[in-house]
Amino acid sequence: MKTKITSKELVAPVFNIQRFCIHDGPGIRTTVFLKGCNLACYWCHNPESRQAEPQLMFYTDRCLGCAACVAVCRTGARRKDGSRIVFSPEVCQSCFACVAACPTGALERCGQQMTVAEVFEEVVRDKPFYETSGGGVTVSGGEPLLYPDFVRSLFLCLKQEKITTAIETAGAVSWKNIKTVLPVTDLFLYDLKSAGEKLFRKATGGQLHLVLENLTELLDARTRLIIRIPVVPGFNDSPSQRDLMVKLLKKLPGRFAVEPLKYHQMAQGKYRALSLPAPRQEISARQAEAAYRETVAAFRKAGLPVLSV
Amino acid sequence: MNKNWIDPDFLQQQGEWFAAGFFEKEQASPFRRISLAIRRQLEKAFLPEYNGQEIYPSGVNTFWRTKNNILTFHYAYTLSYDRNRLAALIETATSCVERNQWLSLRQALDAYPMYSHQLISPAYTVGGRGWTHSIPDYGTVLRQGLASYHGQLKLISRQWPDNSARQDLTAGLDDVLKGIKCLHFRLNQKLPRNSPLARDFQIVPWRPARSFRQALLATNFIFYLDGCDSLGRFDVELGPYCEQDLKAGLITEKEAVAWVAALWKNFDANSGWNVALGGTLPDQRAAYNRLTMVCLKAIRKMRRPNLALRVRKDMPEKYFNQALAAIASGCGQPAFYHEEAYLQALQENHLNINFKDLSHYAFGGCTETMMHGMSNVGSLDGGLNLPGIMSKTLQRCLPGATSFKEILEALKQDISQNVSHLTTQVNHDQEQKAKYRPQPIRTLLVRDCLTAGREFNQGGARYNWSVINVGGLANVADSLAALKKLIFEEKVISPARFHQALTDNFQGWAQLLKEIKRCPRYGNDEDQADSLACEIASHVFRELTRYACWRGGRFLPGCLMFVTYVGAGENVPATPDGRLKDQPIADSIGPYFGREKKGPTAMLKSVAKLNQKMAAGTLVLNIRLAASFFSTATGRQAVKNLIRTYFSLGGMQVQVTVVDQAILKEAMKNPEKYQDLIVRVGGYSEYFTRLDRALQETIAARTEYSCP
Ligand code: SF4
Ligand code: SF4
Repeated sequence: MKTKITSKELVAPVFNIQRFCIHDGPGIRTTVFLKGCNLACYWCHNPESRQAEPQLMFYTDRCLGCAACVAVCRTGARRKDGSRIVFSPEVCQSCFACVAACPTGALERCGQQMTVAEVFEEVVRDKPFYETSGGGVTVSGGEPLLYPDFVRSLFLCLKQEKITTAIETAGAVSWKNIKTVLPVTDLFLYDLKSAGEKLFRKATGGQLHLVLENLTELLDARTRLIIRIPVVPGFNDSPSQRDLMVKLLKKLPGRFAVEPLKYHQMAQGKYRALSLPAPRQEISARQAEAAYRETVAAFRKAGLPVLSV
Repeated sequence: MNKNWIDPDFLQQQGEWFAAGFFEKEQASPFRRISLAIRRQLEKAFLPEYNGQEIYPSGVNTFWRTKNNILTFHYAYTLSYDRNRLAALIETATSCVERNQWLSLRQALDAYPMYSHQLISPAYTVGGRGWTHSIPDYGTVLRQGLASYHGQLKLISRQWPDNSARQDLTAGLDDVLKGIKCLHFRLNQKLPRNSPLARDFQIVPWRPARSFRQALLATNFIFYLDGCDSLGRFDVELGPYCEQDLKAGLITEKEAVAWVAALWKNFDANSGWNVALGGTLPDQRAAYNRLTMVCLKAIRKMRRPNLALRVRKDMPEKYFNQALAAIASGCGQPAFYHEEAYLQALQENHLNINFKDLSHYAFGGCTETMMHGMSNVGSLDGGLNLPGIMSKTLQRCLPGATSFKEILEALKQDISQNVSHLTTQVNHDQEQKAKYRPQPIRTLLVRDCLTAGREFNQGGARYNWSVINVGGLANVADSLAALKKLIFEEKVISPARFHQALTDNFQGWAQLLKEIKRCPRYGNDEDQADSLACEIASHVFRELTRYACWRGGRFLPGCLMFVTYVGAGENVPATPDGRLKDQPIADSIGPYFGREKKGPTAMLKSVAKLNQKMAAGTLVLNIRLAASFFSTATGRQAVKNLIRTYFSLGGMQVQVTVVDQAILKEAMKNPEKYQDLIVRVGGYSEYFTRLDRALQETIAARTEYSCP
């Protein structure tokens, strides 16, 4: 059978390409963040990744109040109110005329349609670092598996360069999407947010059974896989929730590692910049640290293969 | 007697021992006069009582700077003349005789060509001028003892009875040796009788060292004697002593660490400079030993020496880990050097290094490359201020420029011309030095001076080259990239208007500054800017290596800005990269402060594109990493991989500072609380709070990477 010619013309919305990542898989990596997500976890630390369309981000602390943006905005989304600049996202047409006009960088465009070729050109640059460190390229999001063909095509290009690939997914997609990228993906970083169906639906709006079915399927296929569990205080850190999670993990077939992730609140600024309400509950760094430690300890005690920093 | 007669007895009475020696035989050659001056100083200078430290002598070097004499010895340029002090003495003289003596002393000293570095014009002083750092031959002193030099001098003197130059040399050095012997005797008397320290100190440095402690004492003594400087391959020279004592159970590793730390402390107190660790042995084996580890442990939280770890491909991981632990302690030490690249570069640069000697490269001062115990390297003889040169070029040819190529060519021509001027001046300086400022101690202690019968500054050392500092590459690359893009590609501004903006120091040109910001910048792995940096760098390097030094050898380019990048920016007009008038220039061979936006991998790739092998004088690269990198195994592994990859791409040196931006800001606000905060500037480490405000600001502005 002839292999299908990979299309380097495929596009996907990218909101960041971050070089020198060291927490998204082994070694030194470049992480490509695709925009758009089908879940809505209330603690999300990449709120700009939820919506697939490009968005305007407004960092008020860098704003001088010069009103250069107001002058170019044709929709009236940017208005001057006394000495303050007000932004009404609902009227904004995302033309980004204001971004070019702003002298301080208080306005930023988030999200860009990029072709596979463009992304590839950027991520291949750090190949020497991948080679020395055993690193590679990770595609993250949002939910990157909303763009399986794009990811597959990108990974095929990377394979030709002998660069290893990883994908960070929440797994709440149809198995067909996963199957598309399976042969070209070296590592799955598979998010598992909670072990209870109801809680999962409440916190993320998604269906846990789909996530678990896909996970089992992947493990059956002997894929290299790390299960990543965001430890969110007040959500999944109670002893009962933890026990449930341990039971679930113990039942899973095949080989995998478990990596609890510490919750952090560094996304606050981004929520503000997007004019979104920040996650409702206040979680202190100490709380987050304690919850993380307890989870790591509990998993270790249960004999699970835990990766921790 | 005429008015100009200077009475050595009078000078002695005043405690001016060095000057007394210098004027003892006014008709003799400068070499004899300075030798005699050294002898008198060593014989007579005041010595403080033993201070109870493990390392002896210790504390601020007492015998060269007893009480701020008018004339003293200075390690880098031989003589140090305190003109103000003399003027004060003339003012306060109580008798006519005294006044006349001081006056004639001033006349004589003013007539003597004292400082060679004043021959080099201020335009070529980036990083320093007319300095000579050095590494004495510690190995011979350790293994054969200073006494062996006596025999050698006699032999030479007997061998060449009719050669007046050699007779002069041996007679002068005989004086120096006598002075050293006397000093040693006097120092010995200060020690408690029969204490273990006294017993060790009696043996070294005259006779060969037999234990690690003796080797340390000998090293310390020679370091003091030279007035201050670098220890070179410390672990290779002293490693066998350390290993032997550890094996025999005479010392524990803990003791060894404490001793070495005591030596470092003394080194710091006396502005000692560099120590090189590890690398390759003459038989090509790896040179890492137990002392290497001891040194890495001892450097924690220390400011000096500038520790240079030579990283071979097969360097055991434990040394790398220990090095990172030291860096994490906040001292910015050690810096990492790419062993294989240095060996290759030193071979390729027409320095005529004997293959046997090749592995003995080490560093003096900040990080000027020289051969351990056998070099006289101008370090630094002078430097090129690239943004300064470019400003003049632009003033002349920017307004009427019709193509980018025209500007580039004009700049290159100007650089060539400046290189030619600089090298002429340096060579003239070297010639003057040879005539008036001989270095008897180094003549004695640097290899081949004796056997060749030539004084150190006459080119007696086996290797003579000169490291020339090349400063501000990033500013030039970014400037060219901006001119190219805005004037000739996008045509958003005319050459004449851009010139006007520069003249206006960008006041009222906010829009242009914004346009400049989006131009390609060196350090982001973007070829448009990086290729310009490469082109200019290669041109400077090639031009510099074309010239030969007066003393022998070649000019070796390097980039070691030390703390001078702030001063180097003063008087340089605004540059097209958006740098305002008087602002600092780039602090290393890397990108300009805060202009790297794509993280450390991109930055390292950019810098590795330069043809670094042509600049083995050391191209210093600063990289600042957040403390969080060093707190996890993953982070430390990533740092190692960054460095290894930079080396695999052709990078030769990199130094890491661990600081959190927040801490620096805090330290600027409350300096009292941060007295021990050390940062890496140029090629060396310094206490942050000791730096001046402008320098602090640029360091706080340097891009710091955190873990994404
Ligand atoms: S993106 Fe366009 S519509 Fe939206 S605020 Fe800016 S200028 Fe107005
Ligand atoms: S142009 Fe930028 S700085 Fe000026 S008011 Fe708008 S957002 Fe603020």
